[in-house]
Amino acid sequence: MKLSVADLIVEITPRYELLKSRLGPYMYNGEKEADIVIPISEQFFIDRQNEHPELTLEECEYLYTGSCFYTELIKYDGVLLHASCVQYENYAYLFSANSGTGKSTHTHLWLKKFPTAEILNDDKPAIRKVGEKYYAFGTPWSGKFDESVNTKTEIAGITFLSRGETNEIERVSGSDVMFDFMNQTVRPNKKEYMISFMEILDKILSDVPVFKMKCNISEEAVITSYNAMKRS
Amino acid sequence: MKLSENFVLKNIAGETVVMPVGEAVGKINGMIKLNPSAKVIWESLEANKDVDGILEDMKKNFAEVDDEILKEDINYFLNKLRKYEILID
Repeated sequence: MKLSVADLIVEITPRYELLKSRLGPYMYNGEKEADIVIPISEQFFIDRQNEHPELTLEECEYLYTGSCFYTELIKYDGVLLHASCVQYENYAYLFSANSGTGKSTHTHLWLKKFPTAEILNDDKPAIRKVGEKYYAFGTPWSGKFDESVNTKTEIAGITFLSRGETNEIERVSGSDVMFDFMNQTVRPNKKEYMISFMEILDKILSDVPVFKMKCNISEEAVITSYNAMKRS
Repeated sequence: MKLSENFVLKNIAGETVVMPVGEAVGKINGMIKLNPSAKVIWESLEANKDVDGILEDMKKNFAEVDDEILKEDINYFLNKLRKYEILID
């Protein structure tokens, strides 16, 4: 079957329920040829499961098809960022951090503060340069909970979060967060993919506003990040 | 004297960065930031220059620095690259 994900046509043959249950909003019935083919066989998942017995076959399929998609995305000026992404008033706001820091907690405070805001992808949005602009996309690979919508939203900014007693945010240069970004994405192993990966990372970190923020769990935290990141 | 094929040098956000690929990923987990003189040496190595050739390139880029200091810089960096098996003799 064909999907439309991040403005790309993806061909995939899902076998198990977990993946199938996430694909509905991304189905594509048009005539365009596939940009990305995910060519993974059942044997592949059985082999992966032997390496990771803690995963079920359907979890293996879900994780490895996602990893395959995000690797091929690199060839189309795109990358995965481990982040919770909230969209509000036509812009996407990304909050990235190690698991357990509270990025999802922060974006869910946005939903309370702004009734029309929604979660674009709670864990693994795709970032892609299309034309001269940078967009966040929902994907079927959103993590544990199915919190993702199939949309394309221009990015207002990317913030790297850490916990704090008070709320402080600072706009920083791309080189200040290069290491954080590298740690919150999947670095490709193959040389040709690495070259493309470093090129798109350079573009993102040169063009997209990036921030570092310390925050607590409060409405004030939301106001602090929104005021700093919003486009005037 | 040859650089391993398993590294990629690029500029990212104004920094010169080297990333491991393939077999090097397991050995070096992370990225290497190069300062301006390390960048010149790396690019000379990529162009298959020997130590004399590297010194010539360094002189062009750092005309105000003594040859002896440039040679020390080159040796220091080459030894570091050897230590991490980035440079193969």
